[in-house]
Amino acid sequence: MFDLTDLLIKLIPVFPLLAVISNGLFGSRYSHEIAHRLAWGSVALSFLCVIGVFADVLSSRVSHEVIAYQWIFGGDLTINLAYLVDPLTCVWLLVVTGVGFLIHVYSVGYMHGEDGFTRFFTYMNLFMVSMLLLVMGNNYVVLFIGWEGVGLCSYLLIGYYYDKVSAAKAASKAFVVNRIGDAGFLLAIFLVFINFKTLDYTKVMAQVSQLSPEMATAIALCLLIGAVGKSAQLPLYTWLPDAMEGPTPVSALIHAATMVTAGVYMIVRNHAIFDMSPIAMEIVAVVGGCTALFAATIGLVQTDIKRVLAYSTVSQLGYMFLGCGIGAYTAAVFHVMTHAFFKALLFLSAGSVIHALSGEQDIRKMGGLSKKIPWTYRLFLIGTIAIAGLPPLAGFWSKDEIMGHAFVNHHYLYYTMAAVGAFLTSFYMFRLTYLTFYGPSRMDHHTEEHVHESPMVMVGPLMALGVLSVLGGLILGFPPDHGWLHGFLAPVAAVAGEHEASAGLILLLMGAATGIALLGWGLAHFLYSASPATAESWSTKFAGAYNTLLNKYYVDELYDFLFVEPTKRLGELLDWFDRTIIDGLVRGVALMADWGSAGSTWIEKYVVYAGLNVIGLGNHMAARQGRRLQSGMVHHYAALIIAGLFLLALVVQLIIQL
Amino acid sequence: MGDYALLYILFAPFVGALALIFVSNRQAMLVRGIAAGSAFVSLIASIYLFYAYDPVRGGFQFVQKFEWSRQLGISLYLGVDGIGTPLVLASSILLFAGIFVSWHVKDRMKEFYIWILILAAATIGVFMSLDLFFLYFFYEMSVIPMYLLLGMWGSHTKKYLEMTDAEGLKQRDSVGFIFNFGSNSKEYAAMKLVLFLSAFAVAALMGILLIYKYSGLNTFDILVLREQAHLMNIPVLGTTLDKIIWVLIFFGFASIAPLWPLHSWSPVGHAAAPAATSMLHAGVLMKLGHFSIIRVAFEILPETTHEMMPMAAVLCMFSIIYGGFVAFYAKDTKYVIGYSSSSHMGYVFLGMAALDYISLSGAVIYMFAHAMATGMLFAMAGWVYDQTHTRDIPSLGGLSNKMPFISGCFVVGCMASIGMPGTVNFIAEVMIIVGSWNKYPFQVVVAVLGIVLTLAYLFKMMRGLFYGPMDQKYSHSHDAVSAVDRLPLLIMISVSVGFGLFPMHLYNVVRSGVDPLIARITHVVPVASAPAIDSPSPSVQEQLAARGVQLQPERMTE
Repeated sequence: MFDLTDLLIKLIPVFPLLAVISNGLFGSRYSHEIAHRLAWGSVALSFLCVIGVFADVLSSRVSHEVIAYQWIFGGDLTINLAYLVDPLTCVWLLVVTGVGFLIHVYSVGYMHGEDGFTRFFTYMNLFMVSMLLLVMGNNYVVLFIGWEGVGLCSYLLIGYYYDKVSAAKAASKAFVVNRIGDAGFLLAIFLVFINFKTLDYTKVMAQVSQLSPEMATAIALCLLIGAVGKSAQLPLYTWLPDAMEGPTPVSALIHAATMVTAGVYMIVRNHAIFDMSPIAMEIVAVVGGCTALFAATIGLVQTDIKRVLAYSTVSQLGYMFLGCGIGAYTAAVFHVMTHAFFKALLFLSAGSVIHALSGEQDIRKMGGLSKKIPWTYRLFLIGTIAIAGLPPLAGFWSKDEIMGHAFVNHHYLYYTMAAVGAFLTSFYMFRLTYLTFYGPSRMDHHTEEHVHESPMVMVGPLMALGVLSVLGGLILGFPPDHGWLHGFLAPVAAVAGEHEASAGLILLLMGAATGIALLGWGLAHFLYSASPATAESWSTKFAGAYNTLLNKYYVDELYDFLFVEPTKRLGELLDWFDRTIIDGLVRGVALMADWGSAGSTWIEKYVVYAGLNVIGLGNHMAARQGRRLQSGMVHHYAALIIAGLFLLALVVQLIIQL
Repeated sequence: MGDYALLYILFAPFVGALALIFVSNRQAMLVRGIAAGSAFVSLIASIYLFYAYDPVRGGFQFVQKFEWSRQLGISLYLGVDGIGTPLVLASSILLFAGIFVSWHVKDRMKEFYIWILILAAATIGVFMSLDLFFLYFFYEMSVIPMYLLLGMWGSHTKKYLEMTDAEGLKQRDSVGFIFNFGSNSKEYAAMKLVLFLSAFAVAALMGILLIYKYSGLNTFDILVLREQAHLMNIPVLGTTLDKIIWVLIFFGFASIAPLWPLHSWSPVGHAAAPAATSMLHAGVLMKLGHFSIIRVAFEILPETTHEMMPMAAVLCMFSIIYGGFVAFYAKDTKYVIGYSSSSHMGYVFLGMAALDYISLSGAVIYMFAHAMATGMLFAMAGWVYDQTHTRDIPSLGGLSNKMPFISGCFVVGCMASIGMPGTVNFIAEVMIIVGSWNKYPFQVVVAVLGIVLTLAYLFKMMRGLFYGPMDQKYSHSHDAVSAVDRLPLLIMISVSVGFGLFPMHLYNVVRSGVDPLIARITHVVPVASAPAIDSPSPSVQEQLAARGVQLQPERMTE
């Protein structure tokens, strides 16, 4: 039976895949123009397919399961490349292809004239394919394939400038740290398979109530390890700030809008398992809350424009985890969406700044840019207001919803963490804006001369994201808790037994959130605009705290000390063990053979040969004597023969007599 | 060719080697042509074999039997099942790729190719032998060429090169020269490898001869022995004979696998070997160990296997973790890949130890997958060595700029090694781990963590070789641009990815070989109620039938 929606679903990942094949294999044969058109064109086609699928899901409210290819099948082990498109997947598909498309278009301008232009777009498209598989798969294996695929593309794109040592290191670090999480994820998959004998979501979720609570906790925690790695949460977040070594569109697409939210997707997808284990839920919430707060404090003092945004991403992902941990799945997904809009906007605007300043990323060397690059400035400001959580921009609604859930369900500790985090977010984002766009220019003369607004191909996508950042929250999530998104996601992410908040409380919380954000803005204004000297004096007054934050709590150093160095040491030790003990045994055996052969040589020389020599000597002596006998005269011989015969006869006689 | 496929595969390289004897080294293209041609015949025949093998029918197919000695019960008895078929294919792919990898050998090329062909043919011979005598014969035959390949065409390691001439001469002339690890010379490596493997092969030979003698059947025929040999419960030296035989065979063959702690020949052997030799050696020779254990110990002594395999499950953990850590520390590209291979062979042992349908199939697929992945890595390490004349990772770097193709392939090789989805390694790894979970959950956790370790050292090496700034002295090095240089890598990559995306036939073939074997081992008889020796027991087939166990794998329904 032909179904248009099924066909569209199958086509979604095919377009970018074709672009990968074409650009990857033949990219060097044609111009950059063709390469980038293929790249963003394919994503646009996917986006159109997604719209079609979305319209169908929206109207029919039916989720689709499509088998694209039977990969391994046989008795006890069946793995298909199959897709499941339900409202949850739809949300991610829209974000991935929509924001992905905008970032692809932006990249055309940003990467213009770079070496490896085609390589860049090949990797980007490969990333799109993997990300689409990740969110579309109907079973854990497809999820894992996408999961690993996005990790690989992230690795390749962080290390895009491969001659930079820092980029190469950051790329390896990202992949290795992610792999630690993946190990947990793999174990979770095995546990699921052992328990359910299947890996399809629908079949697993149907039987999930048969799990024992311990097993549910075990699976949930293993899944969480995977999610923590991919979504850069405590304690595995360290790779994400370093990942900023990649080109800025990569940071926007992979390390802000899409890939890093995969952990949230995975938790929401498996929320039935998490719901069975209160302990696991608690841990998710603690991880999220701590990360939100922790990363925000580091963000306060960073001086690299992209690193500030990176820590802010880690912190915002913490909010999503916190939302998941307290059961507010819809709010978490809502925050994923708004975050994708405003964080992509912020990163791309930051990219536009960096582009304008010929590659400068240090905010201490910026300042006063608002006049020179007005469009970038306005859009960056929109992003800042959105992430800071000021109404009515997008970030306000989603963040407020998570905080509101925490408060209403009596998680006051989490609420406090989130509130402090929100204050810090507002502060460091406005600090970033002030330092970048206001005040006197701190650029060197040469850079200042070349400052220019970015071309339309870059500003255009920024504007689209700006519109989404302004309106996205209102469209998707207004009124709070009963917005369009809540209705749409109700079949997949609704949780029973929530406390309903009264309208008054909701308004109160919204007021509080706005107040917190304004407070952060005010402090940033005071320190970085009204009285910059105070900021200086504070940083010297609290030098200890300031340096700790500047050095990111020395976590990288700690991990080096705890894991990297011991691994090296253990490797060294085992290497020594291998050379000395194991190989020593082998050599010992060989040496024994050596001694043995030396010994037998000695015996050969001094016993066997000596014996032979004695015989030989005797022979020699006898021969010397005997030589006389061999006179050559026949009668002598005859006499000897006769004597010999006598002797023989005598012997025989003796023997017979005995 | 049909029925004679095995003969083509086995004898094409021998014939090639024979023909090469009559060609002069000055006709380089003719030498290469003959070598490549004979490898190609073998490759085509094994592709045919792989796809013509009927997994539904299962069992041993393409059987050929030539009697050699009736008095001793020896015959050249060839046949492949679902376990041997993919390994034969892997061997001939690596042989064909290896011919191209060593295209630019300058010194005595003819002799080099002769030995490579003999090496590969002997390996293939083991994979298709159904006669213990010839299995051992081919096994030994595959070890000997290594001596010449390492000793004559190999390379010294860094430490050795750093010695002054006087030091070197002193060490070389000393009596204990071959026992001196510090010398790191290729002669040392050659000597060690061959002595070590031969010593353990003798243990395996003793095991084989014990089977021959005590079965009393006067035959080396594996199929007859597995049905009719009664080796259980014969008391010897305070234990039973079957255990002694099993231990001799297991450790005798495990040395080449190499199972920890029997690996000490391997890193130094790999480091000294020329690229094509390392490829074949790590790619397929190592698998002779696992294969021979499966073919001899699993087939002939299923009950003992059931009893003894937990020991392998313990040792395999050491292999995985230990090899991984040492590889992390190693600074020589080939040491890293060598130790990584011995670490990865731990996964195969884990898959074997669990004695489960899925895990053993996973182990067999892993052998195939690892052959491709490690073949790629060794080929590329060889290329980098040829270009830069060093394998010392700290002194290399930034080669990506000079060798974009090689560095791209290196990423693929690393991805295959760590079991990235999309490569056949992923399927194998997942199968091993899923299959072993029930029996050895702890080992599975170790194995999964081992994957992280694999990634750490491979990416460390990748970064060391290709990223960062480049030393100017390597500015003359160049990429693999010609078709001849690219072909072997492309072949191995496409096989690895191809089977990763379309694994069904491979899976079915392997399952058809593994299923009856595991059924025999796990379903037959608990050791306690094994039949006494003098009371004739019904053959295993009948026992199985009595218990309603089907030897044929269940047909997959679509």
